[in-house]
Amino acid sequence: MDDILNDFVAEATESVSQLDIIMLELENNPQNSDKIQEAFRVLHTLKGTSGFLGLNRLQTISHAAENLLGRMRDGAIEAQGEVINTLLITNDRLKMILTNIEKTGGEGDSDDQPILKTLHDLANPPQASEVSEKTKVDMPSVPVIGGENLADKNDAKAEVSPKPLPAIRIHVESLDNMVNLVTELVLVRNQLLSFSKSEVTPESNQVQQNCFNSINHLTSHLQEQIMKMRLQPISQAWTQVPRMVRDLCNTLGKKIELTQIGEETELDRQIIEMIKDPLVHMIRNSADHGVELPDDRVKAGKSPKGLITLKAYQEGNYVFVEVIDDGRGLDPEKLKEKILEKGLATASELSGLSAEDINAYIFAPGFSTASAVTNVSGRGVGMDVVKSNIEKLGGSITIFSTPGYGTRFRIKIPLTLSIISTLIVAHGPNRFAIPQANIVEVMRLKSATTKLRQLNNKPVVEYNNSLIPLYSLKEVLALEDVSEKYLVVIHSDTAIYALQVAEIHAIQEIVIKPLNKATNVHQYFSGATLLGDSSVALILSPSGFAPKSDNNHQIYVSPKIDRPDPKTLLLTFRCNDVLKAVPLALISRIDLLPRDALSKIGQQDVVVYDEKLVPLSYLAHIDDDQDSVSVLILNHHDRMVVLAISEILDVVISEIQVDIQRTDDKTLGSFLLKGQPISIIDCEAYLKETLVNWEDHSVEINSSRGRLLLVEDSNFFRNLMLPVLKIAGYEVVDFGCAKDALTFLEKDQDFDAIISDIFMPDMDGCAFVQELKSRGGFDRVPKIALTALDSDRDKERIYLAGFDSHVIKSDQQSFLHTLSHILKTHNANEALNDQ
Amino acid sequence: MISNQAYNSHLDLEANQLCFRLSGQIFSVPLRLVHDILKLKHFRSTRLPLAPSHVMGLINIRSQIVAILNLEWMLYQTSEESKAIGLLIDVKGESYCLAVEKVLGICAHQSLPRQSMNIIPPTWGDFVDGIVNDDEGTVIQLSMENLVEHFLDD
Repeated sequence: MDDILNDFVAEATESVSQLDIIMLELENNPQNSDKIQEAFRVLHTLKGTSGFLGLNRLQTISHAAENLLGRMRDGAIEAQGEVINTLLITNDRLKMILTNIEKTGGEGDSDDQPILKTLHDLANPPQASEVSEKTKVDMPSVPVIGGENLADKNDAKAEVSPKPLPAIRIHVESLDNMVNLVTELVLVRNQLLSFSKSEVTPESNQVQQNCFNSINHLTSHLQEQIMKMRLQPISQAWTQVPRMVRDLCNTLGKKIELTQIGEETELDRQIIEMIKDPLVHMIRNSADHGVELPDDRVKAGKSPKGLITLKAYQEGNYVFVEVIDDGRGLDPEKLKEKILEKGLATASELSGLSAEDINAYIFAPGFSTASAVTNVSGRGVGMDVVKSNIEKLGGSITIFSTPGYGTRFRIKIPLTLSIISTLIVAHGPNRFAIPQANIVEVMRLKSATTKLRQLNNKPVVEYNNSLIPLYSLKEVLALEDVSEKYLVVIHSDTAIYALQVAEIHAIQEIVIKPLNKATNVHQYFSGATLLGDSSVALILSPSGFAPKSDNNHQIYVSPKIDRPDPKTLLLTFRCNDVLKAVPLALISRIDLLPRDALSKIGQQDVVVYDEKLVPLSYLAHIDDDQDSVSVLILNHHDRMVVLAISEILDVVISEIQVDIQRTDDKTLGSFLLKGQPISIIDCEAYLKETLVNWEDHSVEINSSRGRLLLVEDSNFFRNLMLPVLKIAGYEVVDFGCAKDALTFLEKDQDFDAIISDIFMPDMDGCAFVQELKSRGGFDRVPKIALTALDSDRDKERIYLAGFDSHVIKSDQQSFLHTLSHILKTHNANEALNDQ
Repeated sequence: MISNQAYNSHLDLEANQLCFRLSGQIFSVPLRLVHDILKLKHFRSTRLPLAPSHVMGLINIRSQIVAILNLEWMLYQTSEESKAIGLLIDVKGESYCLAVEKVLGICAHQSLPRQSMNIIPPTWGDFVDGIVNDDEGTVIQLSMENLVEHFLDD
């Protein structure tokens, strides 16, 4: 297929998909003349272009559909019922022809006369009654998404040529940026080549160093640009959903409203392609098994119209996609019956399981809860395939369901498949990469020896008040005998465990490469990568080492309870003669910028970074004659702050054992590292200082102590608050969601205060506190809402739910002050009660 | 050495075979599968822990991570000497590096009559496309597709 035809197919496919959405909107609002005009324009363009390319079938069909729309535009025909059905079926035919062109280069040769006649008859009302009968005969009664049922057998016989490589549209500006970067790269290469032929002098060494800095900088930008180019809005995976839901409603006799939230969320093109089918399957399931028939819904006190919500949002390096329905939910008793019937578990095994664990059985192969297998949502072989497809992407799927109220499927998928940040660990000559997103903590084995135990003759380690399995990389992978000095605590989606490793090398962004099939790759590796010295490092699969659900492990593994606590990876750097550190999790990038990128606008220091002006804060004095400046980049939501420093030193793994507390308003505290004092900078203070919206408050640091439970779904904010709280003297147990915190509180209620965010997925802070109230036992524990919500209405809701105090999130000092005050009052009251 | 007549040098990729020596035996693979001949000492091999015995390690060839297959082990279930040469071959869309002792050259044997298969070990049956008697000895034509597939299924 030549390039012109290729471009035409890509554009026409997009337009025809758009027509589906327009038709559905017209069905709901037949008087919308803008939509009729829009559909008319799309078909008119399609007719013109296909005629120019000699694609007669496309031209004829789009011409007939255009005529019908013309009559609708003139008000002669109303956009409803049979008319919309016919236009949707016409779209399916257009899609089928486009697919034929894509596969074979030709339109195929099936008979379009019935569809053309129907379109013609509908456009000429006197013959409408006759047409109606014809339509029923000629058109498929159950249109299926993507026109699969409509595929003509004759067309299918057409000779299939190799499928063309998928194409995406890229904004010209992105390409221009790429070209600019490559031009600069070529210039730097030429510079280096000229030096390779000249004599080595101190001056040339310096220039050479600058060249390397430039290459470093340019490579980062190129990487970023290319990754951005691969990102596409997730709506591309959703285009077929409205039509599918509409067709399912007709087939099932149900009424369903579809809501889409976050369709602009971007994902890697490859991932979008790979989640399309799982999403379709899940939505079919929700419509078929989840949402009830209108009469049943009314009997259950619900609106006859069901609601399916498709929602996407980004959090860190992951995108979450949720399919939520307000249907009947999963019935645990019915599920149990099925589990027993299928022999997937015994009654005694089921008796100890939570509702969540029982729900997870729907992902078991061959499991189906539908009392009758329907032609809509498969035959019980779907959800296990959905799960395995998502896991292939490095993602996970979880299910939340309340009987009678609905079900929420949540898919967590990485933003991109190609480049990930990892911790490189070594064992003798072997090097392995552990995905950083799965690392909870790294500690020296020596410091953890007191926490090592044996349970059922298996090694475990005490971690965050739980015993977690301990594995030795040397033993699991049968490596040579090298002593293992470190413990890496890793969380997979199902469990948390510790892995003993010999050496920790560095944190590095790596490019994932697949392993040969013939290596019979086992569970422990998810791929391989090339390191800077061109050697190969294997990527450890976090779920590969995770304990499987055998009985031995179930005794002590408490999955999902312990949350990541990333306080121990510190980036150390020099600011003139002073050593400083910052939790690595707070730094989005480290860079080396040319001196002339730094400037001043009014009183504000700024830096040109990523072709934008970004506020700059000097942590070190930078000499005018310096050629380049080391910088740290803090990134919070869409805001960026650059910190200029003298030199990056190292990444160290250390417990933050603060010896000296806050000495100034930009230092959280100081401690000794290898005998040298080192201060931890307060990132929030720098963000506040540089960003206008961050207000400054100065309240003395609290010196009281206490054990706190913190529930906060934002990783960034947790990472920001944990060192602050720890340095202020508190012991903190933190969780990313309220449900995990509730599970933990079942076994440990010993907290001096409970701090919770309000706006969180799954269970918000108010529901969390209400649940605590209903459980009892927490009446005397102060509960503090830490939130960005500040309206009187919000505050009222927060206090009504059972919170004792309300603190605005961005105000760290006010938070510490309030916390101190509440705990002092609480302790005083407790003392009085004890007397 | 095999005679020059056997090493027909016209490069018909479909018809020609690349001959090499391994454990004292001459083998050949279709030339169309061979993309490169590498001196293994120039590559740093990374061991793949828990790998099957036929995988000697992983190497970086032009930014592609390729497994080195120990052909001697695949055929004889033993491996004594280190192999100097790697043949970069493409089988069913995947690249592999086949470790051999010495490359002998290109030869065109497809027109010669296929010999009786009873002289080869029965376990090699599926891995052998043909046997050719040359002036210098017997050349065993390997079916790399079958060989790799067999070990892939293991």
